[in-house]
Amino acid sequence: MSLYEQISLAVQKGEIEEVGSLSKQALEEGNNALDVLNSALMPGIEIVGEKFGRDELFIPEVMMCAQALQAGINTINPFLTKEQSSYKAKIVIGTVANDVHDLGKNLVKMMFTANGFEVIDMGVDVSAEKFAAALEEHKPQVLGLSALLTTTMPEMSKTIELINSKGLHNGLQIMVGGAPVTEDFAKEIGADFYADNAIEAANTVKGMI
Amino acid sequence: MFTVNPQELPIDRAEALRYLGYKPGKRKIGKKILRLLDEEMEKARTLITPRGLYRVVEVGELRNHKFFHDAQQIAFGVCTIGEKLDKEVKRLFKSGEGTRGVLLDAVGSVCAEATTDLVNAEAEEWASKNKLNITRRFSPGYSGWNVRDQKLVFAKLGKFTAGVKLTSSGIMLPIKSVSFACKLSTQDMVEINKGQKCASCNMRGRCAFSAEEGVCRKTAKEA
Repeated sequence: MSLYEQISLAVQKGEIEEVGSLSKQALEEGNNALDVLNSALMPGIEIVGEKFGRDELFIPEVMMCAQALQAGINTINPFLTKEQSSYKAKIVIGTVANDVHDLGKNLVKMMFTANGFEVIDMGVDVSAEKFAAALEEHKPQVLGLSALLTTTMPEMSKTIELINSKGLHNGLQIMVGGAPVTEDFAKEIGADFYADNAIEAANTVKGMI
Repeated sequence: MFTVNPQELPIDRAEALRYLGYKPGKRKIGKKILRLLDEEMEKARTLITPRGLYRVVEVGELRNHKFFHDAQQIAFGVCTIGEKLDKEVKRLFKSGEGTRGVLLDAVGSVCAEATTDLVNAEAEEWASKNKLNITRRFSPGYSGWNVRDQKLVFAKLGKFTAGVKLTSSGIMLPIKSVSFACKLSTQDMVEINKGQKCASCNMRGRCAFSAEEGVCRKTAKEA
């Protein structure tokens, strides 16, 4: 098995320390850091996503794989050029107003981060005005809105309405998710994408970029 | 108010795994995940302050409510494990330890339900002493009961909330809290919580009726 295959496998197994040490070894053997990222680390996490889709892995294992990927990225990052290490996309994420649940949002954030996206986490109970201000300040490509309750879902609609009225939706993709949120609801409120889980959210953004 | 010693609270590992999406016997769970889960279960005991209460009220105007029409009295309850565990979950995610974060969060949910089981059992005992039938518990947001009725539950609990607060959007704080209602009557009542079946009922194995009937009398089988 090649070293790259070993790294990919270690990511798939969620071997955090092993991914770090193997990535270091790959660099010491003269491999290009970008190549380690694209040919070893990312293929590993892509297989993790596929396994999750087939119910072969569950959330705790996916989290472990994401942590392993992060360990690899942390190892190679200092060896990437400034251009190479620049994030693939910037994402503003948060739980909408009046909702303080953040487990789902945190899972999505972790998958985004592990996949090389810059994430600006607004936290919980974020008003439409705060989201709009963050869009003006950070100019992200993607906005992720999370809600856990049917009582707080309307805040997603309010947020999107405000973003539209301020002309901030142009060039911005809005993704929504959370236990009671559905694809139909996403369409109804004018969101661009709906994601059922953290892996799907990361894959959807990867597909956009 | 009932308080439970964290060291004595039964934390069901299988239930935590179920919350995490694992199905019994379907796939082998990695040793590493199980080890981390056990560690988080132990840690949870240092982070929780399990407590709760129930309050019995006359059905009154709620006899017009579709869920309570056949009740004579209602036991409303609220339980919590406090806020420390949730804070630790947040800290774990912030420090990049999402695996432990998601495991501890599931353990917290199990602890909140386990606390509620104990308070629910107290309500059942009270019903038994008062010769009343009692239904399985059901909660706003589940079994078709609108989550907006959290306000109704808290209105009936009044100042007795075990320190749990309700936000305007119906979220209980601390997050790891459970509110519930059980119907009480001398007559038969329709079960609202049909999904729970009989697994957690204190009459399990002794009951004269099956959950499939949708009627629960909490009545022991005649010998």
